[in-house]
Amino acid sequence: MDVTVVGLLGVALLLALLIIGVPIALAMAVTGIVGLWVLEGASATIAHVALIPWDEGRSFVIVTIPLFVLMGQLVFHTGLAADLYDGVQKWIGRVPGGLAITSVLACAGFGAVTGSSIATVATMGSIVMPEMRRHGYDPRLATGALAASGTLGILIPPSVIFIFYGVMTETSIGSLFIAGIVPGILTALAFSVIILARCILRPELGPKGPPSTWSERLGAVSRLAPIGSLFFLVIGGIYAGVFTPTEAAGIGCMGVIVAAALLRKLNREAISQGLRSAALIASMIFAIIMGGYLMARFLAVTGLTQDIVNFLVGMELGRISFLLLLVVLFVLLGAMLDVFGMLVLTIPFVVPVIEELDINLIWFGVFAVIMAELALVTPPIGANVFVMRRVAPEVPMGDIFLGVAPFVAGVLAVLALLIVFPELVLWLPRQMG
Amino acid sequence: MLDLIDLWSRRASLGLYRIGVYGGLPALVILVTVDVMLRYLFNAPLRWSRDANGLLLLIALFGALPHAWDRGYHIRMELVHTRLTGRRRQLADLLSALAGMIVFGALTAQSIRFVPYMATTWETGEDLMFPLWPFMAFMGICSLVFVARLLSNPKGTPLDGEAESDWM
Repeated sequence: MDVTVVGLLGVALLLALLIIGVPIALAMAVTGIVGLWVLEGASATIAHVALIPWDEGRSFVIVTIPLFVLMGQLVFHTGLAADLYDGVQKWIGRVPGGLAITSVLACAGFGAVTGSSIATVATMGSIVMPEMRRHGYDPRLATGALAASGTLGILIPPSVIFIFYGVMTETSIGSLFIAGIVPGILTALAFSVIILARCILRPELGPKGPPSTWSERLGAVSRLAPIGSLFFLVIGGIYAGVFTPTEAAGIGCMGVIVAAALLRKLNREAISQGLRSAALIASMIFAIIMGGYLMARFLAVTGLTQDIVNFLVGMELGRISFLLLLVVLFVLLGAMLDVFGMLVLTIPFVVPVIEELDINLIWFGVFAVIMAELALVTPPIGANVFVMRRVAPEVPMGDIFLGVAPFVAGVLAVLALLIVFPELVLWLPRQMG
Repeated sequence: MLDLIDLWSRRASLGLYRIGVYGGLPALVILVTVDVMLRYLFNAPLRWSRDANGLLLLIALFGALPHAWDRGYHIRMELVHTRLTGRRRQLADLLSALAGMIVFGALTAQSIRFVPYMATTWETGEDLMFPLWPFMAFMGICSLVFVARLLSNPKGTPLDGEAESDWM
C-alpha cells in the first residue's frame, strides 16, 4: 500500500478515535503505533514505543512542565492571590467598572506566577465575584470579564501552553515566555478599555467600588510585593539569561514556598495539594506529548506532512491569508478539542508550513496561544466559562458566554495588531541576555 | 480474577503515585534549586544534576500516570462521548481502554526486554555514574500497572470519593 494512503488512513483512524471519545494521548499513541507497525514492522515500532518515553521522560526541558505547574498550584493553594486583588482594587476600584478592571489586572498578575488559565479563573473568580455581586455589577459583565481575564494566565509567562508548544516545536521556551509579555499587557489593556468604555456608556453595568485613602493605597503596594517579586525573579531571571526556564521554574517553586512561609500562608495541606495536582497534571501533559511524538513520527514516515506543506505552499496564500485560514481552523478545532489537543493535532502539520512561509516560530507560538485563549472562552467547550459557572452558579451559562463576547472581540483586535506588527511580539525576545 | 487485579493494581497505582508525588517531585525542586545556588554562590554546580533531574522527572511522571487515569485527568473530545448512552458508551470506553492497553502493553513489553540488556552492559547516565536499568524497570512497572488499571476501570472515571480533574 502507498505510504501516503497509509498516512491518510491513519489520520482518519485518529479522527474516528477522537470523535468517539478516546483520550487524545491514547488515540494519537495507538494510531502512531499501528501506522508505524504497518510501515516499519513490529520490532522497530516497539522500540519507538519505549525509546520515546524513555528519552522524553528524562528531558531537561520537560522538567519545566511539572515545576511550573507546581509553582502555579502552590500559589493557588497557599492563597497568595488574595492580597493581589486587594492591592490593585485600592488603586483603581473607584473608576467606572473599577472592580471588573481590577479583576483583569489581578488575573494578569496571577497569570504572571501561574501557567494555568483555569487556576486563574478559579482563584480570582472566588475572590472577586462576591465583591462584584455586593456592588451590584451586571452578572454578564462580571462573569465575562473574569472568564476572559483568566485566559491571561496562559499568555503572560510562565505559561504551561508555551512550554508545551516549545517542547513540540523545539523552540526556546525562554524566548516564548518573553514574547508573551507585550501581547499579555496589550490584551489586559484591551480588556480594561472595553470595561471602562462600557461602564462609562452604561454606568449601571459596573458601579464604582469603595473609596480608598492615600495611606490605604500606599499600604496596598506592599501587598503586591510577593507576586511582583516572584514574577521578576522567574521571568527577569530568564530574560537576563541568569536562569534557564527549568532552573527558573525550580527557583520559582522555592520562591513561592518562602513567600508563603513569610506571610504565614504555608501549611502542609497546601504543599501536599500542590504536589498531588502538579504530578497528575504533568503526567497527563506528558502522555499527550508522548502520543504526539508517536503520531508525528508516523506522519514523518508517511511523508504526509510534506505533502500538506507542498499543497498549502502551492496555493500561494501568502502570510496573512494563511494566518486567517489558521484562525478559522483553530476556532473550529477549539470548539471540539481542549487546548492541548488542538495544538498537538495541528503543530505537526502547521509548523512546517509556517517555516516554509518564513513566519517566526516564536511569533507563531504567541499566535497559537492567543487562539488557545479563544478556545477557552468560546462555546461549546469554553473551559473557563464552565469554571466561572461553578464560581457563579446563579449566572446562566448562556449569559456568561454573552458576557465574554466583547472580550473575544478584544482578543481578535490584539491578534490583528500582532499580525500587522509582528515586532510587538519579537522585539523583547531579541533583547534577551 | 478481575477483582483481584483491581485490588492489586489500585494499591500499586496509589503506591507509585505517592513515590512520584512525595519522592520524585520534591526531590526535583530541591535538586534544581540547590544546583542553581551552588552554581551562583559557590561556582560549583553539580555535574550530574541534569542526569539526576531526568531520572527524578521519569519517576514523577510515570509514577503518577496510572493514578491520573483513575482520577479522570485524561483529556478527551467530549462532544460526542457525553451524548453516548448504553452499549455505545460502553463500546467507546472499551476502545479507549484497548488503545491504552496496546500503547502501555507495548511499553511494558519493551521495557522488560531492555532491562536485562541495560543491566548487563551497566548503562549509566553521561555524568551520573548510576545504573539506569532500575529506572527502565520503574517505567515498565508503571506501564504494567496502568494496563491493569485500564482493565479494571476502562471508563477512566474517578473512583469513589476521588474528585475529578478540574484543572487544565
